[in-house]
Amino acid sequence: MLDRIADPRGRRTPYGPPDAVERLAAALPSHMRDALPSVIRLGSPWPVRVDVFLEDGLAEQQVEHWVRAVSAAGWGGDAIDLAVRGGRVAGVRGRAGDRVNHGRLDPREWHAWQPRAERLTRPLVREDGRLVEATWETAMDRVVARSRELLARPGGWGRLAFHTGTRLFLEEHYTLAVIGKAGIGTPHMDGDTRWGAAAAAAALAASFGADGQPGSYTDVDHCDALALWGHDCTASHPVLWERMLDRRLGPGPPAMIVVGPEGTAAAGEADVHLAVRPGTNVALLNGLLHELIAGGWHDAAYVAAHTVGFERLWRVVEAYPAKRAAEICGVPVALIEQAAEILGAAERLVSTVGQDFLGSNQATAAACQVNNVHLLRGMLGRPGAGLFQLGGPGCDALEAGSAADLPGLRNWADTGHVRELADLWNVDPAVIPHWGPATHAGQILRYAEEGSVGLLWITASDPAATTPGLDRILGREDLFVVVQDPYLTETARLADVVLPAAAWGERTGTVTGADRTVHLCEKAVEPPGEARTDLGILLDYARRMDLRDRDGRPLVHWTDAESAFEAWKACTRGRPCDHTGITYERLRAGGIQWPCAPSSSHGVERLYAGGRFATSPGHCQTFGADLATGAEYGEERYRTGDPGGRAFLHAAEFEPSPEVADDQHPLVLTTRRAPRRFPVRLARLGDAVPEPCLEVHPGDAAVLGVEDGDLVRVESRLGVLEAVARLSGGRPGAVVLVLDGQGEAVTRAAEELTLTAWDAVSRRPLRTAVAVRLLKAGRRGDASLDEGLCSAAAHLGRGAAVRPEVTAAAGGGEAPERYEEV
Amino acid sequence: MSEHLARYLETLSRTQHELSSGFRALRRGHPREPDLCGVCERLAAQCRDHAERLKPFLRRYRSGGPRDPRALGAETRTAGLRPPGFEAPRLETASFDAGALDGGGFDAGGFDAAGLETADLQRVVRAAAERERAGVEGADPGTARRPRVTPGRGGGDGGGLVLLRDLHGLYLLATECDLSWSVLAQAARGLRDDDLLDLTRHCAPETAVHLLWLRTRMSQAAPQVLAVPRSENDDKVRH
Repeated sequence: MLDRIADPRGRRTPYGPPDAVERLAAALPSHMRDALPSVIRLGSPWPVRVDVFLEDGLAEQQVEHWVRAVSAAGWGGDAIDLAVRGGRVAGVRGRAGDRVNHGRLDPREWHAWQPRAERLTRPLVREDGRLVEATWETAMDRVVARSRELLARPGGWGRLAFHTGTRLFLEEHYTLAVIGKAGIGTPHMDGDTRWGAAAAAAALAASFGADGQPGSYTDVDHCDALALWGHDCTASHPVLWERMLDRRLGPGPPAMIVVGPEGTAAAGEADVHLAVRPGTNVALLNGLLHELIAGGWHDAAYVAAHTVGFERLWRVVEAYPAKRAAEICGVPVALIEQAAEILGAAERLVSTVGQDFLGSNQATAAACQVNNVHLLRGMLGRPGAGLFQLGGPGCDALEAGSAADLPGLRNWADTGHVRELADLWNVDPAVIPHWGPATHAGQILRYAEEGSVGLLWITASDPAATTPGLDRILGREDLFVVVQDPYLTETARLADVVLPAAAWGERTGTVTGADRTVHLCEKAVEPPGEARTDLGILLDYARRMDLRDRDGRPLVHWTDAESAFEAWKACTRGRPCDHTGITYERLRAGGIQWPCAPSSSHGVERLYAGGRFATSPGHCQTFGADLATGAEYGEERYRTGDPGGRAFLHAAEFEPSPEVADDQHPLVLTTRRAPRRFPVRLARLGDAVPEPCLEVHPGDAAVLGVEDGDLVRVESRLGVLEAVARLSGGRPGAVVLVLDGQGEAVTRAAEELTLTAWDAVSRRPLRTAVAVRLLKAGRRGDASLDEGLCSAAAHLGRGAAVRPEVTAAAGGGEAPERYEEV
Repeated sequence: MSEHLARYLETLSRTQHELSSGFRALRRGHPREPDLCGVCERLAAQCRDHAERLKPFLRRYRSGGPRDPRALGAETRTAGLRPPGFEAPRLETASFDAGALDGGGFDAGGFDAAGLETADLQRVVRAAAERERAGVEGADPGTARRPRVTPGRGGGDGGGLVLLRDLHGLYLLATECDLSWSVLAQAARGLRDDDLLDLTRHCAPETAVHLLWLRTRMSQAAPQVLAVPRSENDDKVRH
């Protein structure tokens, strides 16, 4: 087996850009491209290199058969084949002919397919406070009985909520969307995408009218400049990174700009590396936009014909010459000028925007400024001009509507879109939740906490492991929690009913990758025990709930993955994410990008060719919102200023946040959670609460007069916390707060310290680095110093209303029996 | 005539202060609503800034100012930079509560539409203003420090209805400001006071965003609060 982690550059395949003929061919619409010889038609000069990871001792000849699947490690949408032997998945291999990865594998791929412990094989229900095994009949009956009982109450639709992870297939997301939005009619559907992909989707919809990555991975082949905006490509998209690196090592390499912290592989590779102060992305982009416009590098004709808002953008960025941006961002002015020069001179620019932008101060606004760079330079919709907003996995959830949006990238505020869906599903439009914005994930949990949501169905997600205090919400007596997951997660341990689900490789469905490529992921092996596919569970629920349309026919009328996909296709007709030309049959031959109409043999490779955007009022996904506050502008205003298919240049002033270090708060604090140990314990009265530990660089400690083991006060503009200093910090100017079983009070205090902002447009909290100062509070062991944390814990202990079995036995620390093997 | 304008300006200035305190009070009153974080502080700062920018005009029109407002143009143009003379020592918060600027005629809190109890909001707003006055002198209220220990659960918010009512009250206050800005724009045109006109052009859109934000936030909260009653004594089917 090849060890590519140890030798990441071992099998490089350098290549140069395609020639002018091929570039011309790549720019043709798909039906015209079909007439060309296949070498030119499908050609990407990136050499194929097939990676294989097999179980130790297994040779490729011994594999019984190979089954099509999609990368489970990352979310780039790499096509892989699963090796099956003896009814088990015994290895993975990159698919040579696929347009995304050309045979390559994510180094973590095989690890992601390894079976993990605590696999669920039978449904569990809570009996006398314990989870015990049960039949599917019993488990589903309980879920249905509770659902019916809640729906019968006044405002029944508002009592059921769904929190969904990103590991469902498109068909399952859509089925869930129909059950929730047409059957039950609840606006409370959201999930893990809220903390990742939502910001990317919000930025794309704000600028271009609808979600959907404009670019194609093949743009990396054509480009002459690459810009990575806060995107640690090596970690999140290793295969894409290999493609970039191969271009850099081949003839005619593209220039590379990297914005982000020091120490990443991308930072080392870059021609221009801008290590901006955390939280100053908008200032940097405003500076670059200023340079681009002032230098006359923008495409004035494109801007005039295809965008709105140029005057306002210039009014804002006029105040950000490179010098000022450099001061705010803490980088040399020459580097900003150099970067602007590369951006301005590039003929084909590829940008990727990552977590350091989409999860940082002014997230959506910063991402929109990158969109602006591409709009100003006309860098969209042609080979080599690509843009990727890579917020996180789960674009299927956003497209299919199991998250907050309506299916098919529809606009909840557009009554025409709601009517379309009502006609498609043959239900009363009044059932479809469109009386307000869909509830975001944080708000759903608030409603559960307040008691107005009575059933929370969590699918393929483990929020309890990452959200402090959620265990108590899920433990509420009046909240019925259903967890559907392959594994007995922390969340599942708190559930009332646990439904064992099949994992990838045990069921069939489609997955959409980052450049809109849809891949088929087929069933290779049987699920263990009584575990069922997520689709099967949802179909069973719909049947038991007897969800029907206006004519009394079953609302969910499909029976398997392929028929679910056909139903989904009908939902996408005429929308930006048109899937109508895609079939399972065609997917078996390889990935297809959406939009794909039946007439074309493959999908549209790049969106917005010719500068036509999805912004016309009847088509757009959003009527727009104020980037700073999230205030929605509404339909009337949008129709008045009808952009008519032109894109929006959104301007944003840089706004400092508690994230940005200054003289008052010179250190940057980040938090790190120690590996979680089972079981979760809540702090109780009388418990000894360990102080959190703070890693400080010895140099900083010396300046502050802090010694190892001292108690220090950490003050940000938002809050205060006390911690024990450890002089083990690795970087001057940075401190790391290590949380390890401190219980809720401290975790919450830490959260308060680091909750730097709320991204109002994508409606997600931004928990990032925060600027702090340290004060020595005394030597460890001083009695007076403990009072803060202990009193918080005591307060908690009194207020906590927890099921007895959730709390650990006091003092002992051994695992309590919460789940009984039968 | 300008005496009337002065009174009108005073009222607007006071309402902006109230709105500013109201946004901060909203944030404090609902610590468990994460989406209020940042936005409220921002809107509060804008309201405060509006009141700040009104000050030179208050001076201009209060004491029967000069006939030709252009004579004062230079003064107001630099007002944004706040030369020493304009650094009135935290006058605005104090005057708001002491009612020193109360010209009568426009009573604050004239909003009791929809039969809602506005007393709560008033109390919250007043309490916030009081806290601020008692707080550290010179500290920017936008970044006021929180108590050292994280408040436990609940944190004093009484659920969605209180939030909805608070937002409702603030909306009415903001409407008052919105209306005042448009009226002032008219007056400024009539007086040929370009500086005042510029001010309304700057502030009116921001106030419009305040209204939009409040409306957006209310529409998020309203359906669940009003249509899905919280079950007090829940008949459980838990086993």
